Amino acid sequence: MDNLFDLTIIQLRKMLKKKEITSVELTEYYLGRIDRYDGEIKAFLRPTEEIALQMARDADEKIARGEEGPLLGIPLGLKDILCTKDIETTCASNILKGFVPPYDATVIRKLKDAGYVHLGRLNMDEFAMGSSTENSAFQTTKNPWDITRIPGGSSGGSAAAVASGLCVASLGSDTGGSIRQPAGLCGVIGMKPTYGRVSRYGLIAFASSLDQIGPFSRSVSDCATMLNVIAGYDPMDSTSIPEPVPDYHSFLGKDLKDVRIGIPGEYAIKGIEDDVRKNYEENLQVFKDQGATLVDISLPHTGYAVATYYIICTAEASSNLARYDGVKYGLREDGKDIIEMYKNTRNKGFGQEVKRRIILGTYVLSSGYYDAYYRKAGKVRTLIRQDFDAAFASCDLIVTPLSPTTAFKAGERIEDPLTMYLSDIFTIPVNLAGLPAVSIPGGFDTNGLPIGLHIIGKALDEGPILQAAHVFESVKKVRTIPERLTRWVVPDSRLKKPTQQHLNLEPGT
Amino acid sequence: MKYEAVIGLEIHVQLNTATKLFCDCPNRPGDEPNRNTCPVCLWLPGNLPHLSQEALEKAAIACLALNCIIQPVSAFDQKVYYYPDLPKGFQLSQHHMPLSRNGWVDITAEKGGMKRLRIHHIHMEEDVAKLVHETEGKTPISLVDFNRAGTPLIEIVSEPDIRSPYEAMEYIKALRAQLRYTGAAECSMEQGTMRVDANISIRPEGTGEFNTKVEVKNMNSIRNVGDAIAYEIARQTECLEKGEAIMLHTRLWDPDKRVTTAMRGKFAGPCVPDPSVAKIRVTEDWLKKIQERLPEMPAKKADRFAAEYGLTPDEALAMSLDRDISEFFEETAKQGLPPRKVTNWITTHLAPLLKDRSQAIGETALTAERFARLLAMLEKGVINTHGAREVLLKLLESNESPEDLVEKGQFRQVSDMSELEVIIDAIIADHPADVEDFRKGNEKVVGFLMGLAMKASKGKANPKLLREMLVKRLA
Ligand SMILES: [Zn+2]
Repeated sequence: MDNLFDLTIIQLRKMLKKKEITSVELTEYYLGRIDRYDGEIKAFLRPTEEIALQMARDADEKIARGEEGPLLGIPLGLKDILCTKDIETTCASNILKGFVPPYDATVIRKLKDAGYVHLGRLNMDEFAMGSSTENSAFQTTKNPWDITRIPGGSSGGSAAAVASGLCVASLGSDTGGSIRQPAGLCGVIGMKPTYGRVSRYGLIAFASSLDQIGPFSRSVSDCATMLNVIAGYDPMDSTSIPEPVPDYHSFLGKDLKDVRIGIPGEYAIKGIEDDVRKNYEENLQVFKDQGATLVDISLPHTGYAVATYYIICTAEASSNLARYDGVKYGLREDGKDIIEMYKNTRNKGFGQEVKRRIILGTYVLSSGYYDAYYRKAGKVRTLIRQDFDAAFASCDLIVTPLSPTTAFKAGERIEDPLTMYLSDIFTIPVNLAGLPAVSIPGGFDTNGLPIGLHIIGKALDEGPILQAAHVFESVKKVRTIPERLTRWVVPDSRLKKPTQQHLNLEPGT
Repeated sequence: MKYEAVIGLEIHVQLNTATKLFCDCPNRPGDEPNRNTCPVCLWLPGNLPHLSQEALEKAAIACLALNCIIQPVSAFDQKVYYYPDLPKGFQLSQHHMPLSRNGWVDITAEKGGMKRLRIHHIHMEEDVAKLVHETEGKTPISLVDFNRAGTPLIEIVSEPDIRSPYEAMEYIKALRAQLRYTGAAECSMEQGTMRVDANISIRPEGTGEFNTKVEVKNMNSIRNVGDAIAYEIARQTECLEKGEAIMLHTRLWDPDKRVTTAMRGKFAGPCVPDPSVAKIRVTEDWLKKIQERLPEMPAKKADRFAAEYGLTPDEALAMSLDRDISEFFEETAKQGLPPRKVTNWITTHLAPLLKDRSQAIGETALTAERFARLLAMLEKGVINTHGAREVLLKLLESNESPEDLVEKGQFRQVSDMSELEVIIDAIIADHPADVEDFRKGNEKVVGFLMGLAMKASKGKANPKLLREMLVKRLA
């Protein structure tokens, strides 16, 4: 059975239903690919093989009973930031090493209800702070297109796993671009839904007013399937939006006539690579050819977005991370008194970038600076939101480059946080405004590295975004997995190998 | 120089909701430690608060009862500090945008008349966990009980209008009466459902200045609040007279030594708007519904009692201060009994009995209907005061009818003249000297002999009749 990774969830579900394949076989297939490729890619922090096979067996039983579920039997990977009952959840931090949540995040409960199979925990920047996944306390994930380069971040593991065909799809979280930027740099689809569209209950908080959970996939169809499952109001998250969820598949297949696409003049910044700019211009032409109208728009406060973002996100992070004190769970480093215990625990438990952001956040909130930084940032945030409101009066979607550059070399920017921060310039304003946006594969640069294309919509307009993404995908047909990762075929022996359960049932054979 | 005190009180009141402020755990801090906890109130990674509507409603009712104006928009902030009683490193409290502002309560001033004390604002916040320090054993350890963590509080912050320990105590009593009326809070300082911190400064009398204040905590009764304030005024006066400066700090009241001592400063971090609790936006409809739920408050009720039932102002006040008592009074009076007689019986007999037993009226078996039947028997002379008291005691404990209790306990008043005659004969025969005294003009002897006769009748004699007969016999 080769190239199962080229099939959409809908296609796989049909095969499972027709019993052309079992969920155990599908799961073994992905576990086989993880064995083969993840030593190199390092997307998974911890594959959960036993749990995966158990969930796959359960799914097969349900399928045998004729039960349905949009993800029934489908193996997925999860960013290690989503609390999952009885499965270690670390946020790629030493301070949470060994933390096993006694509860499920709302999205996990929804995935379970939909019948998913938990393949494993995916790497990330510690506490989602970073743009390269180099800030993980445990390992550095590689870009599948060039393993000397970073996969982007903070959801680098989620992007790399999907781009390498190590899981059908995955979930990540996006605070300033943490889904879209790695999706763009790894050449897959990554959606950040509207703030409040997906419950944050159980998402380990980085910056609560910006964080949002979203899917990674290798097709727009799968993105719609995943979003259908995870979106919706949740009484456990009072910032979630009490609006009904449309069927996102119903937007796929519609053309782009009558769709107005806004092109913000401010996004033609210095520092954008030539290949990236050229690709962006080609892609705008694709939309035009498909009947969309291109409109020039202005987002005048874009230049302030990065500064504003780093004030708000560090401020929120400094209080969100105050709970990691060694008292209740995770790491504890003893001290002669409680204050020393706190200091020792936090000093040992947090990495450099996390400490940097806690210090920045504490500083911008400290008395005397609060008005100059935090309060002012709040005002600029309102202006940025108003920029988008005004722009959307004359367009339906906004299309921008995803990142000024393609994937950079590992280690290249880790000592230069400012340059690293600036690589999120196109994604950050979207979080500040709480809008939905997707990154889709736009093509490749001269080095063969993926270039992302960024489509932004009005609040709750995930449907129209997917509609445009789907048109683009069907026309441009950009490859979403490196050719070299498709050559190895999972041996049949792995797929058909007797499971532990079978051995137990037939001890004599 | 003569100094006057400037006092402001910050009062934390626990709301008696069924569940905690941000999760669905029972609001029962006294249960077995850590029984009432969940991922939300333990603030495990990834958890988010959801505001309890019941807590919001009860807080709003409490605000209205204290004449505060509910704000159209209020919001929670994160007060950051590190301590093991705070499971997430910050406390959710309405720092920047409180639920209500600008209230007041009236007290009787020390020199008579009414004094209005203003309330600056009332905000909602969550309580913290309880720390238990085990000092026995080789290594002392501290344990955390999270049952109380996340239970709903309101904090009532007064204006600095209070000038004396007396006014502070009256303010607390008035506020407590108002809050208990709403049924939203128990307000027991002894049980910790009401906690009072006092901010005290002094200034030369007659000047309008505000000087450096000292915060005093850890008073566990209203009396202690008065004493701690009095101590602190004296201490600060002494400081100023010695030419020492008053430093801004917090002191703890020591109830045994009856002094305040300086407390080590606590690190207080920033206070930022919380992004996860939705802002509270009050609609007119909602506010109207809350207002409708506010009961008739004591001052208004006292006026009505005076007008409707002909009580004196003092009686009306006594009958309206406690909501249970006020309702009990009104129900009893409605059974057609003289209202002032009901008032008298509640004040002189029922209230002291309840106090002795540390019970609220609702916690006893007594109902207004049965109380009325008891008083009716007293009115008709079926029983005397002594008998009525005995029956009342029984009515507090059982659901038996007062009539049955009178029969069973043989409390029926003895008005049978021949029975009384026998008692009087015996008393006179046993006390010839006293009888002689009376005849010599010592009328006090009647009281003494009446006491003996009542005792001989086991308290059941109709006292009026007995006295008449005794005096007649002695003469
Ligand atoms: Zn709870």
